[in-house]
Amino acid sequence: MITKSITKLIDEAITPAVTLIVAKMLGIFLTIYLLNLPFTIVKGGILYLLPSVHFQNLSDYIIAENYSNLAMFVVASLGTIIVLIKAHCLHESHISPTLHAKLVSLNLERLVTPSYHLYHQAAIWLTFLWITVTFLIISTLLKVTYPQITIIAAVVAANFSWVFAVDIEKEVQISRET
Amino acid sequence: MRRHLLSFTLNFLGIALLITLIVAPIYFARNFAKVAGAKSESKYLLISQVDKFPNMTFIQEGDNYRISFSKVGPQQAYQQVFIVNNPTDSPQTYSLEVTSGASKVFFGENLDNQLTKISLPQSASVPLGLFSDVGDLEQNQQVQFKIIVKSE
Repeated sequence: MITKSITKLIDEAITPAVTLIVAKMLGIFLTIYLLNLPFTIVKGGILYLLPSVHFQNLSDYIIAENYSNLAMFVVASLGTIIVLIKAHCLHESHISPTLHAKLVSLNLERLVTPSYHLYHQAAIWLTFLWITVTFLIISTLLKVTYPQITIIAAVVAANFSWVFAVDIEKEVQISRET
Repeated sequence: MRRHLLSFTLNFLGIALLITLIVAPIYFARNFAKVAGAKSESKYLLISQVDKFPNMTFIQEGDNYRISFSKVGPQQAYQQVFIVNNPTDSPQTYSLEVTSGASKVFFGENLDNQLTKISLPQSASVPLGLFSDVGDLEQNQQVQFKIIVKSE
């Protein structure tokens, strides 16, 4: 009895949520490994349940935080890019006939995405992208994340949102014409 | 009616689950890495060096610090009994308030200028010493003090 849209959003949110958590973890551990930073793993650091990584000094923590936040943002951007490419090139309502025919001949018709699926996916990825940007802004205000990363992230997120808005405009125009 | 109530509850729980899923990565990102030993709410760190001094004991009760020691001469001073560190990212002003005992507690190492108030820049440290004057004749000395913080 849960509204279809909420169920769909929950379904679409699981993958990006897990991906972002994994990106953050990988970002931290890769930074530790590549820059040889001393650290300890403390049990129950997150909600008395999950472990957390403790650095011996503030500068090591800031380096690891910056690289891992960047990794998280890159993953959020990649997810959004995939959805935007789907929206512009593989959108069921305005896919080019040539491309559609080629996909059918290659037995890849499943790549053609309907608006319902696409817009839920885009809403989730853009939400994650903007939440990541908000997190970066707060982190910059707390003097942890470098402002350059946050500025680039905000510009990228704004551009992606604009690209998505263009697709919605196109969709509205098509629905008016039909 | 019952069906509507159930539907409302399920939708509410659905939205709560969705918000949790969206917020979880950010919460994780915020808490996964930390600096060891530093708590953001702590305005100062008091590092004890009491074990370097024989016959000196240190007891902490909340924000009250109590030191007991034996007097061996008419006038005596102990330096660097504690180190006070400012772990925050802004300058802090610390004042010492002796709540009981005749001995004096002071910032720094200068016996001629025993500071009871000091301003520390971010991440800086200052030693804390003890001084017992001639007039204080008790052999077993005890002093209890507090550190009062004032953000700049």
